[in-house]
Amino acid sequence: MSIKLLKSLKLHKDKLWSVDCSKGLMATASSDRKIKLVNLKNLDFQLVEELDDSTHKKSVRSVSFRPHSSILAAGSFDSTISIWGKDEEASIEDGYQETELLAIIEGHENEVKGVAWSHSGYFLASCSRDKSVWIWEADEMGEEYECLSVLQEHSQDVKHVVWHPAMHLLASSSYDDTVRLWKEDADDWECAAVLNGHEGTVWCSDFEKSESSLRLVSCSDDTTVRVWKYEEEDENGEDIWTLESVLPSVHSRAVYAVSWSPDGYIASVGSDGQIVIYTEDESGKWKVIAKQHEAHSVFEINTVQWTRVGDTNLLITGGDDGCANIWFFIP
Amino acid sequence: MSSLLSEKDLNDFISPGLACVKPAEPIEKGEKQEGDLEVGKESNDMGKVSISLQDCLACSGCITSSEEILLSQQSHTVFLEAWKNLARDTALVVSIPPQCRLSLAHYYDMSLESFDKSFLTLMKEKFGARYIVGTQIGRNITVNQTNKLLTERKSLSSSKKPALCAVCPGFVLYAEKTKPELVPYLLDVKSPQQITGALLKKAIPNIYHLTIMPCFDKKLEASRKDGEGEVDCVITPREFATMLQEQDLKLTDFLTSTDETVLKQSCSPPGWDISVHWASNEGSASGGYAYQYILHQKSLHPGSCISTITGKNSDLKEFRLMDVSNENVIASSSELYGFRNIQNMVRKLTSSGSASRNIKVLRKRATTSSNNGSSFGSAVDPSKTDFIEVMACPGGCINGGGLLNGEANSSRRRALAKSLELEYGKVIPKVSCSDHPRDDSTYKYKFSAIEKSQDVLTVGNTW
Ligand code: SF4
Ligand code: SF4
Repeated sequence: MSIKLLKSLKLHKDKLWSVDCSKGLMATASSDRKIKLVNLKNLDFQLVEELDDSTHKKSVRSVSFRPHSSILAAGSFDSTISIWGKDEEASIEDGYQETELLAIIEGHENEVKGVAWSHSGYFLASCSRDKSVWIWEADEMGEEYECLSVLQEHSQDVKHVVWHPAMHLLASSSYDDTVRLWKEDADDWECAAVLNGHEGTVWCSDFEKSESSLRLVSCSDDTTVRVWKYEEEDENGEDIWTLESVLPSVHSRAVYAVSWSPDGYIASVGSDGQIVIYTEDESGKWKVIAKQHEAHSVFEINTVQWTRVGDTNLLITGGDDGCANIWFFIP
Repeated sequence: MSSLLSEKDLNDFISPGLACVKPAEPIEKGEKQEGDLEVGKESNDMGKVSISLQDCLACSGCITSSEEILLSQQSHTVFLEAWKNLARDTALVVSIPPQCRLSLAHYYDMSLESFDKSFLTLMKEKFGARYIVGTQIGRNITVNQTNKLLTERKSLSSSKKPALCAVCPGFVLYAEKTKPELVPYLLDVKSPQQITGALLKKAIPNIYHLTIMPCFDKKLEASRKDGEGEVDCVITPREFATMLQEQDLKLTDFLTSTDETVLKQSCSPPGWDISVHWASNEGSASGGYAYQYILHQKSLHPGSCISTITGKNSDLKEFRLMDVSNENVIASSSELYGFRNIQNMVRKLTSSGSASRNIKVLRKRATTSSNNGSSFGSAVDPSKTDFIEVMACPGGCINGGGLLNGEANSSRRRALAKSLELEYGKVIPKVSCSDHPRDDSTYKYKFSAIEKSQDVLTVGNTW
């Protein structure tokens, strides 16, 4: 079992905050206000495009592809969200077609920290330092957005949002040390559960990619990675989630990101520069199966994502060195 | 702070800032000092910095002031303090709108009549209130002046459309502080709270006017420079309940057998008709301004009928006055509540961002052409109506943050608000706004956009 560096791409002049992959394309977001697109097909790793960097006036903090499309959402510290895409029906005359700015969404009062598209592509969620989580409904073209809900239950900065891979269930992580889960109610969206337990900022969370069980992994400033499990709905119609396990402690500092792979591995990265991969031995019992020190040399790692290209599983990390590192993981 | 009034409940609209970020001005020494003042924490070498609600009204630091400031200037303790020190010749006058009566009656598990009777007796006997009034006379004036102004505006092509109702201070503050582009749309007619205050002060010299209002933002409204002296203190039903608890008073102990009419009569200022000021009017439980405008237009256009269209969510509704003969829309108005709907309205009215940046419209959208003909489709679009009754709270004032609707989750809270709304329609008698009263004074706000201080946005961590 090992992690092997396949490619290190120096993409940005400043911190790389976020990556997202879709249809063989990787998007990266950085403090240098740039968004870059890299081709992953055939393990090519060529930079294909740099999006107009005059769009955002401050760091781009988060990127998310709309499933089954080339539409990309990017959230920035300038409080706006930009939406990018291509005209997929236009005839491609001379090869590569440029990605254009389709919309700018305003609404948050200050820094947008996270954006995420739902699996269905109907909804875009965003979160901000203004302590709110917004849910937007998008038209098919990705050009028009209507705000469906503004959720203000977090008492602090909201760092990250992520959707369930098959349901309209959203998780948000916050500086208030909690994760909140949100679902659609008859007339509005509503908080379905609050996950209390972390003793520091929750930076990121990710759902299990499974049809049979509903679990969430979260990571925090308190250096722990935790797995939470959905139990049942209580008599008040609220969801009961319990802490199933605290993963073996490896990180020595804040854990900034986690990703749950389709085949059940959890990867975590953080301030200590380590990538840690965990696997489940038996239900609820996790062990570490791989570790990588200094994965971005001396720099902090901000993001991690599993992705699949052809039939190769890749792990992508992004760090303060402005690099996106692409790893092979051989179980 | 008591358990009834806790930090998490202070959520009218946008929760109050946790800390006041108004750049502190050194008051005594004159030495240059930069930094944020954290309210509630001891500021060591900053000297005594006092911030008033008027400062908040002119500051873009946060939308609803820091809760400490809200409560330090207008709260039941402030009221009690002032009440103890009331000069002999100053009379205490209390006003209360129907939403608060319903919420309190529900909280104390009383009928509205029993609540009214107990409330009046309590205020009279315990606090020595000289007069106790409902807010409908003030609201009638708000409605009438709104209708008059809207009718004038309708014939002017120059005025910004749609006109936005400015009765909800939650929304007005939001507009003034964060969306200067919206300020020209605001209709400057004052709210029933302020007009009731102005009428009372006009009728009776030397009064202290306490009002009970459904939200904390009403405290800020009362502190506006353009309404000075109209309201002395605003407390919410939540604070009212806390106050009784702290004073060891039980509302039910004040339930008398005195006839309700007699009691109300004895608490009314001369010339105030109890069948009016304790009443309400047709329309929403937030004041019914949108519906009243359509009723008014209907009275001007014989042979017209009203159609009501419900929107995408329960906080959107449109009224259209149709010419029966040709189906033309003569006038229209809408109700638009809650932050999410306000956001969509803001986006429609300001078409923000898109102009300054290169947004490529990939495909000419089929829908754009249909907008050219008649501007009325079948779907609700408040931005195309003459007038929008904008309310910051989802569900409107019947769901205000200061009411005693303390339910565990938002859907239950909304359900309670819905049931109170039904009751509002049923148990409170309705008057026609145009009948009363004849008042030719104008009651107007002066709105101004507040300049954004850029550095406020960037304080704190930026991870
Ligand atoms: S509005 Fe300004 S003065 Fe008032 S609490 Fe907020 S930051 Fe402080
Ligand atoms: S909707 Fe009513 S209760 Fe809510 S903030 Fe506005 S005025 Fe206050």
